[in-house]
Amino acid sequence: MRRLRVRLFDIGSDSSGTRPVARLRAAAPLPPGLEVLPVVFARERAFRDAGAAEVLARHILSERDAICREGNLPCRDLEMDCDWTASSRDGYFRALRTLSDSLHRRGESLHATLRLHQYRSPRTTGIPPTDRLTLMAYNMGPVTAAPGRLSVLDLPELRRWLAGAAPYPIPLDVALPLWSWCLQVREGHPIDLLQAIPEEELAGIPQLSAKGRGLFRSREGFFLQGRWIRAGDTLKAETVAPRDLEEAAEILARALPPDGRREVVYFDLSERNLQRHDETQLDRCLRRLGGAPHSRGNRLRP
Amino acid sequence: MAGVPARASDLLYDPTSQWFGHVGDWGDAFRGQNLSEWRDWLRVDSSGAAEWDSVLNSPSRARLDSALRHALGKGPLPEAWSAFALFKDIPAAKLAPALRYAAFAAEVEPFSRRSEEDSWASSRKLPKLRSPDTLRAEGLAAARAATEPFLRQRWFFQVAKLSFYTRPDTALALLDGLREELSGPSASLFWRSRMYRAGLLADPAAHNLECARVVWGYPLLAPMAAKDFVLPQKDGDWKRALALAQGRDDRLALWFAMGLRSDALEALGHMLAEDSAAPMAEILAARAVAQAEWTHTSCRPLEELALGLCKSQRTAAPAFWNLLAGHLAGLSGKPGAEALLETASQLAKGDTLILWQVRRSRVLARLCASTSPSPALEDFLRTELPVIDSHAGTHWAAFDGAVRERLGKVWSGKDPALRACLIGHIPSDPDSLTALHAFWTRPGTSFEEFAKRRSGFSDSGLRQNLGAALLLRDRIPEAVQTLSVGPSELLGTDPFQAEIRDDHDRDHARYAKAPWTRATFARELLRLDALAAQSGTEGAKAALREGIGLYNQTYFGNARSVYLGTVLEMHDDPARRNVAPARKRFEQAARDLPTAEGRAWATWLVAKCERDVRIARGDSLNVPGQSYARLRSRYAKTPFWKRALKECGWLASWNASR
Repeated sequence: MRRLRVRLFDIGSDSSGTRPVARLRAAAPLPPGLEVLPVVFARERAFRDAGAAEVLARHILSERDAICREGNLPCRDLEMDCDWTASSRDGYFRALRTLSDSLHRRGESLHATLRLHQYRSPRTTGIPPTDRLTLMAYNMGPVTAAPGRLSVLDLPELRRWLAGAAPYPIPLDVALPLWSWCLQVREGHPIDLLQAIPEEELAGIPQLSAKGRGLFRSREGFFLQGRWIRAGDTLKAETVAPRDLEEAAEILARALPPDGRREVVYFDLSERNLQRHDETQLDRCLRRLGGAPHSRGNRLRP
Repeated sequence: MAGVPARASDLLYDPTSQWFGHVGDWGDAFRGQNLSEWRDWLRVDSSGAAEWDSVLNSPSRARLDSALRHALGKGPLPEAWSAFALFKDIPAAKLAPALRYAAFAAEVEPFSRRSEEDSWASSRKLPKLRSPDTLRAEGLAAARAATEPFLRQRWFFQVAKLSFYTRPDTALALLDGLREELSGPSASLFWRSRMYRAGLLADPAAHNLECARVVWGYPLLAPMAAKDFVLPQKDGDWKRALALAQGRDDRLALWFAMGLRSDALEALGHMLAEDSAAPMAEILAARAVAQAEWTHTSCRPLEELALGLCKSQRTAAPAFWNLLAGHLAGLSGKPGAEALLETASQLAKGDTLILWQVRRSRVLARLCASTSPSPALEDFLRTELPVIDSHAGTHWAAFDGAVRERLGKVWSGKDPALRACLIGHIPSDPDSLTALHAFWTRPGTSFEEFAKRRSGFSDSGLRQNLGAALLLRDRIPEAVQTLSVGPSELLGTDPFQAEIRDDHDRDHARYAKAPWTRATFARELLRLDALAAQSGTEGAKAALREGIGLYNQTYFGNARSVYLGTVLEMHDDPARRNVAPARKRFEQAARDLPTAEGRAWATWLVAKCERDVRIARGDSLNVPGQSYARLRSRYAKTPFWKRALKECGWLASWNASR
């Protein structure tokens, strides 16, 4: 592992203005030898005013510098994470160009995230002006109550997204999912999504009874992660299995051109997720995707 | 209960929404409430109140100080307020302390706006502020010295506000210590101070209980307090909040807040278990219906709950619960629905909200109970719907959508044109559109005429839709005939212009004043079609121009206004991406044009069509087809090829890679 992708802050945007929110506060120093690739998540509405994009880009960079300085983080480069739309594309791309110019002057590079639909339709969605992009190989399937289907990592869907797409004109890193979430299902309909709750945690909740692999039935009403779970609701845990992760790496490796500088990003790197995916297995994914040794990136939640 | 609104419509959020959302500006509502209290205390009329509103909300401390000196007989009035009658009408003994308070409030206000000033985009210059400790001491002294209860509470409130924003570590103790001083006479200030208190409570259970009390106790602040109510991450926090409740009102408040933000049906059950006549239970019932519809889950539990309340007769709102039970029974097509709705109508005692909803619910009940049309149903709809439509009222669009959906089911398999009118749906295929237009123009039965009137369609609208649908399908003679009658809007571009690189916006700007309409465009295509049928050069030239027109009207061209605003756009009709007719003409031109330059241009256009077919299939990347290779192998020495390489980066990079 060479570097961690760490989300430094989000860009919030509402009627009263655009500002950094959820700023990272480093609680302890990082282990030596690690580098941080700072990630900034932005709601696309922050870029709808294309005229303000360059100023916004300068704010982003100075905020990144300030947080890295305050936390004594060994930061290099920058990754922007934004699901841009037609109405924010001009502003976002303009901000990316400004960021790219500033970073290049310092000898650093600009990265951005790329959703599967953007990968597949660059003509309609546009190609972000960055040095590298991180293809987010997750959340590709329909959210469904049907057992056995995972919306986090749906391998048939991944194949469909990648099939027939032409080579992307910007080098791609790849982000693979390690996390799990849980669907709240009522009368057969998924009605809500609860983040980062693995099957093991659901098994320990006294109001729930196990009803098959990854499925739990609620015996009484209770609050969980801000949602009211009614008596009779079903919770369906969606957990990425190590075998599926390797299969996803295989599918991606066949679809993407080899790239010796490719980084493989595992999202996210919590202790719980690492218990399910050991290092040997993660290394196999890395090798399959053609990444250089020790070039594995990771992403942490702030 | 004091402060509880008599009706859901008095609240500042939408009680029928499945989400928690505002429908009004609570900030304006609070300002209005505050001004009304000042108006009563100052004893001024509406124009005096408007003047005081300007003074009280003035951000300029200097101007307020000048006004105060004037009130004390020590100087002139500020220029901006020189015409204000209130400075003459209100005795100095009342005005001076009011102005002194207003000046203090103006100094406290910027502390509450610090978060807005953190915005990157903010260009606001930060005001110079005095130390909060100094201000707080000054405010406390003034509060204690105030003899008028009205001003005394306001001074204490400003101290509480200042402490909340500047000394959150000690503010809770201060607020609790001032509880008596903050309790009146203004209920609004009392509840606002409780909001501050809620914000200071670190324990999520205690915080939520305080927010819930504000939601329950003071409607004006309910939207904000409900927003601050934090949905518990752990069930233990919720159970603890319930355990902290001091009596039934607190428990009702907690369940009500929970129902506003989360599961309305669950909360409603708990509230009614506490008190079958619980106030505001109707709001949660309306939200529960919206939530069930949103999640596509059953309303049966709610229907049973409503029926139980109707039978028990232990409810404070029998008309509402009969209406709800009847409405839900009606949606499931149950025979007893109309009797419940009739009971609701009788119990409504002239409540127009209930009475209009009864009429709406009765329409839905009749439709849901019908599997096919009948003369009785047609007569009922023909007489009842126009009355309901003319009243409109709240959420009419939702009602109209539900009615159209059910009309579509009842008339399923019947005359498609009549059904299209009933549901307000214009088909995009030309044959169905032709049938609809024919139905529209011939006289019908009284029910058919009612359906036509209610559809919102028009003869010219149907013609324009049909014309566009025929053009996109290369049925040019029929398009010309259809568009020959009635007005035809300007396209705002020249559909026969093309460049190496498409640029929709550029061409619309460049040819904005071009005289083309759908009708003249269709006629020109027809003329070119006849010429293109000839062989040789003239036919090829006509085919090229016709192909450009046919290409530009598609999704990929620069004259999409041919179909924009029609059903083809709304239905995402695949004909919009059909470049086959254009390609056919371009191939003719690429074969028969006399010059290499002309043939190169036509071959380039064929290549664009090849690429667009790929895009239409979802293979969006600009992958060259066979025609790029043909273009290079045959026309690499033409000026066109050099120009194309210069203008088109895609072609240049493809060429370089070969």
